[in-house]
Amino acid sequence: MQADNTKNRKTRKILLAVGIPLLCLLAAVSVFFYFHPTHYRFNDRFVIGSTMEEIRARYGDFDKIGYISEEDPSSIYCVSYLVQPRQRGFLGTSKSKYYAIFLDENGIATRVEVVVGSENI
Amino acid sequence: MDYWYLDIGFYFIKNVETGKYLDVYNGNTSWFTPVNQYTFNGQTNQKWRVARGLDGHYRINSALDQNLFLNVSNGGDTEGRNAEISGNYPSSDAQNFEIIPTDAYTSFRIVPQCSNRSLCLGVSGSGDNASVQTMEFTGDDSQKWVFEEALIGKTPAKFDVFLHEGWIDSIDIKRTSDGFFLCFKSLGDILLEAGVPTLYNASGENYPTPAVDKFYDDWYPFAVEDGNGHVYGLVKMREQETDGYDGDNPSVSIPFINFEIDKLFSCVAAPNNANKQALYDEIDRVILDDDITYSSAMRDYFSNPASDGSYLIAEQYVEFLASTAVNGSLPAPDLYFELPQNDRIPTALLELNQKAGYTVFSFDDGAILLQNSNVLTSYEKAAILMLHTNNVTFNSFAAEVKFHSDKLAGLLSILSPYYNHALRADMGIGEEYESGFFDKYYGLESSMIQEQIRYHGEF
Repeated sequence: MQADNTKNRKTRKILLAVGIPLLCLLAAVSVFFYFHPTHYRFNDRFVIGSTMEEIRARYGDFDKIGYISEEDPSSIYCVSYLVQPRQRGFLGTSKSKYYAIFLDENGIATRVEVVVGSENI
Repeated sequence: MDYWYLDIGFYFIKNVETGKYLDVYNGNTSWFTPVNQYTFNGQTNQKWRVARGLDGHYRINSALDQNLFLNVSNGGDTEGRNAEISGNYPSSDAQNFEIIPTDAYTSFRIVPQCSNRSLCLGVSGSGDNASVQTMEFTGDDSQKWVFEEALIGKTPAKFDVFLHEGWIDSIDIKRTSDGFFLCFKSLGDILLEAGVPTLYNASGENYPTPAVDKFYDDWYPFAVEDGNGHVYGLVKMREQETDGYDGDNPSVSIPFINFEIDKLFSCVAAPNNANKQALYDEIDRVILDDDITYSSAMRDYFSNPASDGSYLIAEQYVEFLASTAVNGSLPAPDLYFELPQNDRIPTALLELNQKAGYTVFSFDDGAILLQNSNVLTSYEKAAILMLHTNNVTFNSFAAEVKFHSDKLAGLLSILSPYYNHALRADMGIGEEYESGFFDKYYGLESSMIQEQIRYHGEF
């Protein structure tokens, strides 16, 4: 009986020693992906609702800017960051991808998405 | 009797007033199916074989069936008798016609023998499926017909529509003897001709109105037979560009994916945002998306070592590139200089210069020197091809296309990256590392290229 109790205590200690860190890790990962569901480099919950300037201040200059009309520099509808460049490999050249941030008429981000770049056309 | 001799052959028969065509209703092959007028679609039920009988009359046979003939319902010389198809009765005067020229032979009256020359065939309205009936000839345009030569079993039906709409010229259609067709007018230009300068994209890049001449100027329709007609695809043939809208690097890409070309016609017929978005999505599906089901007909065609389509594409591409030369000088693409060099292409260019006995490629200028951009020598063609597709010969180009199509159904195709690599044959400088594992189509002594040489000669 006493041997059983000792064995149970040991098992419990091991489980706690392994389980608690695992749970913490799981919690941390879940929190991370809660804030970075689209791409690990960008916090969607920060981006959505921010202005272009706020986003640029945090993540740097944009790699691409999309204009509704080329003649109107203020008609920006989308800004994006390159997240996967075109890369030559043994199985051909992969497509480039961008973390695209779509803006409303006030320049506020409303939606994000990883898109294939049009240079792949 | 006064005759104008129409050549025996297949025709589309167009009404002068309405611009619509004699059409067997719904393509139905039952006797007494009405023959009405309908908007041109190039289908078999709009094709007619016209043959001249011994007595000088004509019989008009539907391409649907060699035993179905244009017939005046119940014969006789009464107005209002409908045109229909019926069985083969050579001596029936309801199936024998005079074809009498009008308007300086630009159009014709179709006069049934049963009417004793008092009546002709005309249309009773302007819409699709309006009846074609016998009526007293008044000289009205609704009673006149134009016979347009149709090429049975040759030009794909959808290319016929392009032709008849005036979006392309017949010279734009290139073909091989094994039934491969290439429309050498870009999708962008076709859409511009059809009055659709932009598509619509509600939510992604190039929102909201991507210009067709910016994004689809390098993509060309092609067609291969599939037993029931043709399947249609899109092939990219791009020169060095600098506009930055779509890719700028030259290459050829052949997706083995069926392009639902009817979405193009729907978009042209009704260019609203929904149809434009549908066409935009369809084009993206063919040229960009991964994990798409391939076309068996295309795979079967390009996997046949005897097929000529790859050679036609390569030839057209080389001629197109040559046409962009300035003062006989065609610079090598930017990537040729930017990427880490292996020796294969420069060595091949050196050997080419030696074989030709003159400077085809100038290493000093980094350019191909063309003696005549309109008439290329085989050396110049080879130089242009290898600098833009990475293939030193046309046999290598075709072998690479076949390599991709073969792999679509191979064992490794269950792996998504491998399948997606096989789905589109991409030939261009720097498209992949030259490993020797997957690129045996570059090695001139390889079995792939030797096979091509056996079927097509060394080229």
